Amino acid sequence: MGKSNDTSAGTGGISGELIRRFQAIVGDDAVLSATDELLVYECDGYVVEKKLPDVVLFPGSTDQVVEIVLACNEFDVPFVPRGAGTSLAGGCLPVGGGVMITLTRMKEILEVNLQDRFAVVEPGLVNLHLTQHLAGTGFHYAPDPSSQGACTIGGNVATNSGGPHTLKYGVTVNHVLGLEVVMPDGRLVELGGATEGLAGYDLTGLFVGSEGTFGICTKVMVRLTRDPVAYRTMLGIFETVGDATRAISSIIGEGIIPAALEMMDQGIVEAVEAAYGFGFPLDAAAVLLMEVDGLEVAVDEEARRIVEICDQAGAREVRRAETQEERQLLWKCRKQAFGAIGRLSPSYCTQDGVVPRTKLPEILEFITAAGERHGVRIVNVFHAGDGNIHPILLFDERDKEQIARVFSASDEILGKCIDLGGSVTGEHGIGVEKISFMDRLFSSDDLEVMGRVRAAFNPKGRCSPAKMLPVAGACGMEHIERSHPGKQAAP
Amino acid sequence: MSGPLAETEGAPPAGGSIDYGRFLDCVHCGLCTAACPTYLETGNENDSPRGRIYLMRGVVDRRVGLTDNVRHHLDLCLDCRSCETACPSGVEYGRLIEPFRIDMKGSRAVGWFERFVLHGLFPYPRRLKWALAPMRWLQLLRVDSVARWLCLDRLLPGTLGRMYRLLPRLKPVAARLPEVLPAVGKRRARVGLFTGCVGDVMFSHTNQATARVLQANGCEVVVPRQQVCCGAIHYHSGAAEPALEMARCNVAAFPEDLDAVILNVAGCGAMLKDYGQMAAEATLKDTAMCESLAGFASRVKDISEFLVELGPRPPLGEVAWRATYHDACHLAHAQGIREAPRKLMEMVPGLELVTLPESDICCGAAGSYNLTEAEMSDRLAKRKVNNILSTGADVVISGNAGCTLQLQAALRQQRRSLQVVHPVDVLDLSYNTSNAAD
Amino acid sequence: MNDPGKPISRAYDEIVPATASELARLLEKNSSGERRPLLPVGGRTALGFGFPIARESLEVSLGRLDQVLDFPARDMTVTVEAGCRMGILQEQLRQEGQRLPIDIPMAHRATAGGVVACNPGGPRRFGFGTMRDYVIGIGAVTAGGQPFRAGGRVVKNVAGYDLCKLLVGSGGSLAVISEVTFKLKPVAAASALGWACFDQGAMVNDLLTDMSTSQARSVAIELLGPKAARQISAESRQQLPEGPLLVGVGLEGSRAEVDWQAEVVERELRAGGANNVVWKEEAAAVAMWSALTEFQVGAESAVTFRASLRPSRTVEFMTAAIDAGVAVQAHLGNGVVHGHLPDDTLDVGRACSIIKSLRAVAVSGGGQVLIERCEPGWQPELDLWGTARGDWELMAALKKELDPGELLSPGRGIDGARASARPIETNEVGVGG
Repeated sequence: MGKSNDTSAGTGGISGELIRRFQAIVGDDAVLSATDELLVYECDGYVVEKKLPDVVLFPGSTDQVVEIVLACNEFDVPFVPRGAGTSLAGGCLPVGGGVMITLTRMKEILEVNLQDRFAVVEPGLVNLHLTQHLAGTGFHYAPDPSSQGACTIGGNVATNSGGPHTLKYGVTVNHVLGLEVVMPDGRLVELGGATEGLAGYDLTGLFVGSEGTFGICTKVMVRLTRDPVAYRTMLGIFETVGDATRAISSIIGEGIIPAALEMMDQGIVEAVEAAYGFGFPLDAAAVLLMEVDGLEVAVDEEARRIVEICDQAGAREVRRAETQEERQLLWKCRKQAFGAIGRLSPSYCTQDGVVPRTKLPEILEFITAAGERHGVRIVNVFHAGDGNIHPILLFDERDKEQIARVFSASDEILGKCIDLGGSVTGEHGIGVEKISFMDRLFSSDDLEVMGRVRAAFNPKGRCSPAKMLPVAGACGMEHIERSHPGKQAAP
Repeated sequence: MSGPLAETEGAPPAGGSIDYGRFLDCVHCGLCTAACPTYLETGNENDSPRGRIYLMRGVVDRRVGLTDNVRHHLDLCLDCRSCETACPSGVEYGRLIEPFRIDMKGSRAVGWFERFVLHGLFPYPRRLKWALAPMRWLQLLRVDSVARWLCLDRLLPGTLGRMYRLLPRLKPVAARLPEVLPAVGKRRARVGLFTGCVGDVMFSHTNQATARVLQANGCEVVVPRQQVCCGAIHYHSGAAEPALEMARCNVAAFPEDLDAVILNVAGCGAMLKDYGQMAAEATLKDTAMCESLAGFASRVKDISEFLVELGPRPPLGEVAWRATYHDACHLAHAQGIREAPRKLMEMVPGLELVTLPESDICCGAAGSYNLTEAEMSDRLAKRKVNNILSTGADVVISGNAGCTLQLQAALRQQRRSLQVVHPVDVLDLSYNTSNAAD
Repeated sequence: MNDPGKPISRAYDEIVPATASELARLLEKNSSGERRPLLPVGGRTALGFGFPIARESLEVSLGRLDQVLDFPARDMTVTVEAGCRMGILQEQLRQEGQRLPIDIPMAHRATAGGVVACNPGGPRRFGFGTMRDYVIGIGAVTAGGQPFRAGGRVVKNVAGYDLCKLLVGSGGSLAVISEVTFKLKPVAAASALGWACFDQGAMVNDLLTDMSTSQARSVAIELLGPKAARQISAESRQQLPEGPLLVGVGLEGSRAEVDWQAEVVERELRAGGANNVVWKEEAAAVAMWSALTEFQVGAESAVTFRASLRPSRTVEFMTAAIDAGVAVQAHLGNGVVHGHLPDDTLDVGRACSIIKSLRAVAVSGGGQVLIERCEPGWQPELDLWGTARGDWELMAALKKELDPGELLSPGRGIDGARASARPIETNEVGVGG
């Protein structure tokens, strides 16, 4: 590759000696240290805060990761793992700079064992590529975040990713059996394994969702799930948001666990209609996209009950997708909803709160009121079945004053989620974005105990510093360049 | 509109003329990354669409200079538009990279290869035919095989050597198509046939097949003599003015009353469909010309797309192949045509269509990319061939001449005897077989 | 610590806090004062796990913390205090058509905190998963008296470290659980179990392979050796087919789902070589689920173990165990085996030889044999968890961080496993499960 390695620029705290060590470990073409090539690594899907890493490495094997981590320890520099960089919370932001260990070249599927229902993959494997690889076997990998076409399984492990189908099938942690981890001190450890019910603490479960602060996973053993035999997909159209949310809690309350239960409000419908012309009624206050799956013998009955519940809740109409094409059309409408938002506003910011499902009407009312109070237009498209809301705040990033109002409205909404017994993140993670909420969500005792748990894995704090837990004096945070918020992407 | 940091004085940076809003369309979600062939190969964000947009925006914002590193990552883009398919926010990536590259070109001298071969030879079928004549003779006399066996081809200078190795076994150039071919049976449509430049020389048999298939489907086929190259080679390498001139010629060449203008080369099809946009970008003063370019573009159809819309005559002759279908970028991503060719192939009796893994990941041909970015092109070709071999197919079906050349060369290099054919070749074969049986 | 001078009255002193804050206060007091070893106690159903309890231990009874704190039925979550009895809780959930779909032995006595700490499971783990999949929020107190929470009361939440996962199965060795929030599932309208006998292990393995692509979605696949089959048959008062290897396939769902799947499963069992398939439905199915759950605690044998295996290696292990006279039940779909050593296992040497041979089979397939209960004093020789695994050091580090004074449940959890290697110092007072 014709490139210049200007090692003097952008490598802040990293010495030339360490760079040469890295080059010896991973090879020249797997080390980026010139500012012009580090630029793209200054942020992930969250663009409000940025920080250049000092060097970016692309290890190709577990051994190389071990060597890198040992070198970082020897030279006392912080390091942070990164997958595809699709985090919406700044999960891969190299707070304080240091070494970014990018795992995108470790993407092999090492083993598929259908009889024992597991697969072993490298962390850089794209989520969807595993399911594509399994096509035709009757199995799939269940967690399906909306970014599954790009995000990596290692990244999913770090953030315990969800997706539209988590309502029925669970999140990442429910599908990870074991991990191979390079510990922050360079030790290689295997957690869990292909056999269930091993004695001892569930370190695999603890590691999943630790946002890169417990070490770097280099192999993931995932459970494989049988494909459903049949689907029924429906679209419920409602006159009021209240009716729609009532229908949601009745469906769950009736003991039906749909495969997916997604809601879009009028604002989103308007945007989707403008973009794709699916034929949604523009005067409806909310639409619900509902899907049941399972045995052919059961889905019709479940679908019938859902239609009945929607009718009782005052639905104007419930349409059923009669063909596979119609089903795909409905899902396209949901999945591409975010893309259509560009038609409403030049910039937007997506939030990720959770409330108990019965509190959905209350939080939605609050969101509307907060929007009015701050003069911010807010539209909603979210995983209703889980109570996981994604209010989207529309603004123009060139207007500083609007940005301030967007921040205030976001903070109020997330604060309300906490008040209603919920959480400030259902699937995006804490990263750096939500770190200021941690002491509102947890007591100092809670955080102190969490800190001790982290100390067992990462006593020196070199691995992913300043993530997940608030740090006294926000160590490292002063290095972050707080720029214009830009737009934020879809969950 | 200008970027927030673009206050520094001096000459406008590369990309400065691009509507800044197009950069803002990208919300930096990263969903495009895994759709990008070069990122799949290198895993480097700089080689991903999101990264490239970030780099271009960085140059415009003057956060980074147009350094060799930056140029390298932008040059490595195949312009396959796979990212546009993946993007949920509707970013028109092609409309960023193409004008940006034009600006980039402006600040660098044009090489001999680009001037003489890409721009001077490829777009002109007659020149190309003469240029290839010696090759045809060499092949006929089997001298080329001996040369290859003796590795004499390695003696050719870099790019020419690659061109030589890309060359397919040339079939004799078929007789020129007459200007008008009548419909078979009741006339259902009157269409123009765009024969292309490189395609017409190297794949004239496919043009013949296209004409026959159209006729068999009740189409009167007009093949205007005045048509010229679509202009893609110029346009994509930043030479906008000659490209526009070619567009004007083509609009003039095809009668306005045609129901459609048909192509069998996806790359040209994407270009022709883009004439309206190209005119808009060039901000032509001549509004009538703009309109006629846009009107022409709206009548352009790929052969598969057209046949499926028309309702094809069922092919009855058996073609007992195990085949796999490769999505040409300019068909799948640039024109959004994925189902039509598959539908046609599924109609052919005896044809077993096996799913190709990563069917819509670029094969590395990408116009002249296989000549200018040799290393990456080879990596992608190898990736594609491995995927093809994993299907166990005997035949690869592809709707783009560039892909066909690339795939044939890559298969030849791995000493595999798989055929690479156009969907219309398959249809033609099936129609002929059934006619013979009648 | 075998100090004859110590007053005997101090054995099994008990603290019975009425609130979580009282619990924290009492633990803080112990930690800054006497520093006695602590033994968190719920329903006393699993006290036989690990090493015998040290005489000077202080029992921390959660018996008075037995309230259901919050049951927003339409949210399908429930928050309970740690001492809440599972049987009572399940009854309350059932009235709303809901359940925690985990098979819990001795549920009438077991408490929420206890089952989270001990992580029991039964046949339906194949269809519904285990405790880790259902605990969404937790409150606990460290040995030093520091109260903490993790997770919350919503079904989807990634804020903070997931300490719920850490405490599930921690055996009371990291913290005293004071409060738990569970995610719930609807009760099934119908359930059925189909039973069939097979002569050879190879047939069962083939069947397992075929069933992995079955159109049915069974919630349990069980394999019983003859001894276990007799015990389970007696406990459930259900006649089961008799043969060397008894396979049971469990189904749940709507009536229509169960009926349709029963046909599929019967076809598959017969295709696999079964001559006869016996179905247990309605009340009979309920009795069977219960007996299949209680087997793991049901026998008075000298040693009870649990093995973790790959499903594909489980039949091999079962055959070896049956040949050694062990009463064995496998949750075959998951590769989890419960075994009771034969009644004639009168000395530790005999027990060791059986366990050693079974461990060899298990370890060769990447598995593990864990001693759940045994005669007092046999622990060190039996080696509770077997060969050390790579992550034990990390477990010990966690234990050290959360319980630096080593006060909590000594001889249990990772501590017990590591203690197996060294001679035992505490008094040998066994407490039956």
